[in-house]
Amino acid sequence: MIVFTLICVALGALAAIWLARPLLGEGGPARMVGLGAGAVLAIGALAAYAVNGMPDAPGAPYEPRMAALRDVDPATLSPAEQEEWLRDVVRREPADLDSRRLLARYLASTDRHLEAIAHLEQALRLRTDARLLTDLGQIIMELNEGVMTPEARRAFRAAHDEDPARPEAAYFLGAAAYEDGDRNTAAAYWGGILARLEADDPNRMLIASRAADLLSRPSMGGGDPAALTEGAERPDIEAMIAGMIDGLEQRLDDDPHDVSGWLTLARARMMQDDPASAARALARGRAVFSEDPGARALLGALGDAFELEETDA
Amino acid sequence: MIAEIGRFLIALAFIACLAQTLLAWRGADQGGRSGAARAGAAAAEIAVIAAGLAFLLLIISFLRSDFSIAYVASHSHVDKPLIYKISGAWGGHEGSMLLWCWILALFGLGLARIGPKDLALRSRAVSFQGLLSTLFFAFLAFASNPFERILPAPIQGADLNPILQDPLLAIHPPMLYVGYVGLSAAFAIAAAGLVQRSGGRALASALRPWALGAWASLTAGIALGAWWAYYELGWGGWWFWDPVENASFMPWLLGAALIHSAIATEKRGAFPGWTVFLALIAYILSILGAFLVRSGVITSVHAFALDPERGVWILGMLGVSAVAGFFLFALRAGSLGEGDGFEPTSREAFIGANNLLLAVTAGVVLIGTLYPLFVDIMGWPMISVGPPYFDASATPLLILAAALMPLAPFLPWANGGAKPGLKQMRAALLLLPVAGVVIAFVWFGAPVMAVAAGGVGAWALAGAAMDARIHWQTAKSRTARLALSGRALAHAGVGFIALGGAADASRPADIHRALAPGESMTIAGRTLTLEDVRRADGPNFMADRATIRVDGRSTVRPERRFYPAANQTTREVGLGSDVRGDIYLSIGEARTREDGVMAYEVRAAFHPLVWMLGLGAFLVVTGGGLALCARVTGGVPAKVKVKVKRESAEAPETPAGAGSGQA
Repeated sequence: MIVFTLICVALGALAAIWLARPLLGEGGPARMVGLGAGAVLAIGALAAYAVNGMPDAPGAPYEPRMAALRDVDPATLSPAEQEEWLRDVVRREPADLDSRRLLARYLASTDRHLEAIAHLEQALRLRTDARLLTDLGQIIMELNEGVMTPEARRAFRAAHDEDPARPEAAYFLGAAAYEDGDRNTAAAYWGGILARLEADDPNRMLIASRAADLLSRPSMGGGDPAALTEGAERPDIEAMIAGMIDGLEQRLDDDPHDVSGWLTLARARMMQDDPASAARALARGRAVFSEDPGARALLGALGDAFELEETDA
Repeated sequence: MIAEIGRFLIALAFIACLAQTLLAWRGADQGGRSGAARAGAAAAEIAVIAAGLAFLLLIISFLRSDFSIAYVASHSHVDKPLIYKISGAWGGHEGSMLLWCWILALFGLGLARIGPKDLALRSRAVSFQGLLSTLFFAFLAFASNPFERILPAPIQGADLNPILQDPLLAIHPPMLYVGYVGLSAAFAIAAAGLVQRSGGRALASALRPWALGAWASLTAGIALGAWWAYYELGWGGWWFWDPVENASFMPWLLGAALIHSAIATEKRGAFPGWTVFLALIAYILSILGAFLVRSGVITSVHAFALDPERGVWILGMLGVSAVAGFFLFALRAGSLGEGDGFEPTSREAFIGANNLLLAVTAGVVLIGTLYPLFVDIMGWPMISVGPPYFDASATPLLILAAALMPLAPFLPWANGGAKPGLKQMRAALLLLPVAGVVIAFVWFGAPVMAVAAGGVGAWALAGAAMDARIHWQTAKSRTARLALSGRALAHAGVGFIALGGAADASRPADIHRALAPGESMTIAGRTLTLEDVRRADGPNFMADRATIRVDGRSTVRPERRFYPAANQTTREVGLGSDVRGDIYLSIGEARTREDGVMAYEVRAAFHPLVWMLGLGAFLVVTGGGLALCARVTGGVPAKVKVKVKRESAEAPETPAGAGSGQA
């Protein structure tokens, strides 16, 4: 404030002298005019400044502000400051992939998907990393309102190739296969995850229940479900469904290596209000897949969902 | 503290301009060589230094990304490249207004140093310039201060509008402002001359170099803006009769009329009142342009943020300038004297006719620009006045003016007589290239107006060439040759612009196609193959860059950019230029086609001979510059010298240090 005042006074005085100088040499009334004009200039400038001036307001250049923020615990910062904190790290250390990934996730969470994708792609130019690729795939899906685009699929595929043990990429590849109608591949991806995860891993339960739910849904073979029952009376419909379920069981008798088939059968039996048959179907499935912990986990997850006792085939 | 010092400097410049107005007025009353006149000049120096320092501090604030300054916060970002951090200082309303004010102050100092030789007239002009500066500095200090604070300061800025992040946009506004504001010097001299009752010839002689310099700069500014619009906005247009474009075109038209009218006034005493009137109204239209761009009354891609309060301020300044200027003109126009008579086939007559056409064109453009506003005020259903109106009304007038343009240099002053001139021109020879161009345009199926414009362009070019060839021999002095070169180049420039515009108006239809890498399309006989699209991110944007091969030889690389901070997408056009014209390519989003293939939307256009527009503008600016050089280095014509000498003999001596420049 004092420095600012001194600078303004000095500038005002210099300007006043400069203005008055031509008149001061003339003497007489001109001299008075010169002095008056100089004074009016300096005082007028200060008055005009005072109308909207904020002499106490400090400047806020970016670099010193950012330097101060660097020493602060990021958790105590506002969201905008946290974002800038991350950006600052990324600017200073472009190879810090974790910060770039965090920034990308933050940007995605605030609906700035394109910039998030750009950060992940830049990070991937520095190093191929399964986590980055998985995040990239997920953010591409978010950008496309949950649709598995070819770009997202490529990202998940690359992530899975890079680190097959990572559950996220396998989960989404399973989802992609499921969307394509390839339930066996989906079951293989999801079962693979479940086989690798520890039994007490919370993600395992989530993935298992979600996968079991999806895989147990009846497959209409691409046809229109309404078309099957169009014009039929209710007793006819029930008979038709029962026939389809029996047909499924028969098919599984012929080819039992279809975990999705067992899950669908169990679900269908529950829909027929026949928990004993449902438990039996799951038990048969477990027997078939006795050497496949992933498939067993899927079958177990559906049993848990329906609160069925685990029985022997 | 930098921001507050900047704010103080603006306040200081404002008061200094006020002092300039009052002291220089008193100095003019005392004959222009008293201490008061010198103090007025000193006040102009203070205003220039204070505003210049304030502008420098604003640039420094941009470089430091001081987001406690609202203007910096809304027009910058830490990741913005250095050049755009600097150009951001004039990329928005407040900063550009500071630049405008600084240039106004510079012209005030220019008038004080190298203004009219008549010292009383000079001092009076400095006073009027001070008044104009005071109005604008008051607006800056109290309604558009670029150092306005925002507390608490945001941690990051909102970035400069991406379409303004372009090297051309860094120099286009300063050029344009020198043009707009330069016309203020002509206004100030004209108003001062009316107060001083200076003769028309002396006044025309005093204001012509200022008008010439301002007009050349305005031409450069408009041309740069048109070029920017051509390649940056992504649709290939370089002129769309947009209200903001019109706002610059109207003073340009009147400026062109003024510099020609001033020649006739200076040499023959013709049109003294008209010349002074043009000097007044050209600047008033410049302020009108500022009002249109900055008030928010019109919508345009070029317009600044909308703020009706600012509009009221600018309207007030417009009112003060117009009322003061026209009141003086009404009161004192009689003192300008009347020129010698002239024949209808004299050079004055043709200059007068062209002046009339240019002024009517400016009027037509003014009506078209303001009519929607009028309709809005009246509460009538909203309408927009666009290219169909201007093409039908203004373009024929401009074609007619361009058709008359080459004739005047061949006609004698005063008593006229077209015969010797026509003989000298060998008019039949001039008609040969015209016929050739007309046939070519008709052959390519050009619209009628384009055929006419093309023919007139060829006519103007041939006329300029013949003007240079014939009159070079009679122009003995260096000054005469400079002036002749300036005239011929400027007139040739107009010819090139007419030809380029006509050719571009005859271009084939644009083609939009979704291309996958490896696929091709054809336009104007050229095969364009999309080779690939790759990421090409910049410091503050993400980009997809396409590589498109033209006829298997050259490559063009259009981009599609996304600026996250501004949340805006732009298309960076790719141009493949040769003597035939530009292949103009832009690329859009990637989309899955109906056949399931991922493809990019490619827009292709061919702009034939579009380079002629740029060349034409360059020649006009160069011609204006040469004419200015000739005027500054060669002195005033003999007739005016006599008059000025007589006036100087009555006036006291030139004070030491008041400059020895020639105007």
